[in-house]
Amino acid sequence: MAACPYHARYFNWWDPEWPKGMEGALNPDVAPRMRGVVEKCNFCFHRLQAAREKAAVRGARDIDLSDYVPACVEACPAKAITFGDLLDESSNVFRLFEDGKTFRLLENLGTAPKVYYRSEREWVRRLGEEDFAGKAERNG
Amino acid sequence: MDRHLVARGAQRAPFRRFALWIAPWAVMLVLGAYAIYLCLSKGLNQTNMDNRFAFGLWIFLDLSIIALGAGAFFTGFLVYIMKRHELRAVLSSAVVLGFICYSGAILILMVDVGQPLRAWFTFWHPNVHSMLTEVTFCITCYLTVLAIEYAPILMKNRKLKDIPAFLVFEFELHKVMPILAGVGTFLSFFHQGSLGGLYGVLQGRPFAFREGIGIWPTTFFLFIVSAVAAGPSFILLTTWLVSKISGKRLVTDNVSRLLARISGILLIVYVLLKSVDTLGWLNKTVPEFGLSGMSFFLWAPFNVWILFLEVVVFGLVPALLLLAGNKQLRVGWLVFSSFLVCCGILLNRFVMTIQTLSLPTLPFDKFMLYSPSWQEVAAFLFVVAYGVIVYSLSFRYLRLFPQEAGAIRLQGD
Repeated sequence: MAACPYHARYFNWWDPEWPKGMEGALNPDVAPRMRGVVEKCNFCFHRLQAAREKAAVRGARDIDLSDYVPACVEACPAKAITFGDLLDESSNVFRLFEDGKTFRLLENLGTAPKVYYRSEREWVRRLGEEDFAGKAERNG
Repeated sequence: MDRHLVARGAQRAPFRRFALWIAPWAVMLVLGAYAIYLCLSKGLNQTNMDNRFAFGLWIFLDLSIIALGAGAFFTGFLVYIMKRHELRAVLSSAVVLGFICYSGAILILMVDVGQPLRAWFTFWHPNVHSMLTEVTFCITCYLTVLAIEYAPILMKNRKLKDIPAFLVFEFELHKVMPILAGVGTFLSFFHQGSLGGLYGVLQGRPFAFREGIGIWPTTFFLFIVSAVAAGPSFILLTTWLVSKISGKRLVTDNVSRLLARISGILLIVYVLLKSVDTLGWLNKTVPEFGLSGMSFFLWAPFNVWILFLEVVVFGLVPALLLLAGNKQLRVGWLVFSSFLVCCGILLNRFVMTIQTLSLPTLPFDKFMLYSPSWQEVAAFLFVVAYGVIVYSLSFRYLRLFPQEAGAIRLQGD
């Protein structure tokens, strides 16, 4: 947790709780993590597992890409999130990456995060690499 | 009422006075035990740590006491490997201090780990790429070594000596002490280093990140050198403190001066390495990230003064005092210098832990400070009280300072 500059890891400080009667809404493929465990987004790994199992049933080794998208991508009403394989040059995500409007947070640190952001505005893209001095100024 | 347990020839305060000395520490111990119980039963929500500040007072405590406890392995190394036999005068005390520091650190780590019942996972499912794995293995093994080294000191107790089997066991243990000293040195080098390496490999935390040799960042080496420099100082300081509290001269001045000289030599090496490392970090590592080095010191209260305090006031000044003045200065000055050295090592571990996490990383982050909850403070004090009680009992009932026999009384007892 201390190593991640993106604060993308979360510690379960409390036991998971949900209102009575909501047990049925829990995802049967994902165990609620107990108190004392660190977790982070894993791009819905359980969905990837399901896609792999589906492929295995078909006798295929590779998954059908349409079988695997993280839940947030599927649920986003504005379709603001695109998920895919950047190494696949025919993918939508590769096409978006190519137009020069993508950036990563703290790219200058060399942490190579797998999440890219997009903006038409250059000053927004520059924010991703901002120096500490700029932040000090804004924080007073 | 406990005269029969006190070592022959040693003069100790009456039991009532000793009990009065122990009482406040025992209260602190009980309060700390309650806080630890709360943390273990209810979880780490009892602390003021959060997702951003996951390293807090306890990690600072762990790093600090492990660094101060380095005196144990280093004194063993000097006595058994380097044959500096005059340091036998403080060897037993150093072993007890080391045992207290390492057992205290492991105890607080058990509370801090979040899932104490799964603490064994780190041994059974080790992440071989993690510096922390090496630390866990080494400090556990080294605590075992310290426990074995503590055993013969314990068996020298007047009552335990009456049991022949213990006498034989103690005699046999003495034969393997040089081997244990060597093993302790090996283990200590690695875990002291890995504790530093832990920060140096934080690529996403440019304040802590350091380049280095192979897989070892410079902090790996700096932590080793700073710990071995502070270890003798901590022994000098604690010996002086015990001497003042008990009112007895425990070691001769030449032992204090030798400890001061060793600490001074190592500290000057550390200050030199630390300065080179800081300059390299400011002028090479940080600019390569596209950042300005001094921008890390724009955030109050961690301005440039903290760097100055660490390197000059708690580094260069005591190093020169210990090195240049170890023959001319009074022992009191050497003890004061040792106190500065210990403050320096605490400040260094504080900076690496707290300042690293306080500084913002993301563009929209704020500078953050954290203050520990009472449970964290009480658990911290538990370790302090535990240390004082174990040391007090050891001092009272065991012979920690061989030169104490026939010692000069300094004050009324």
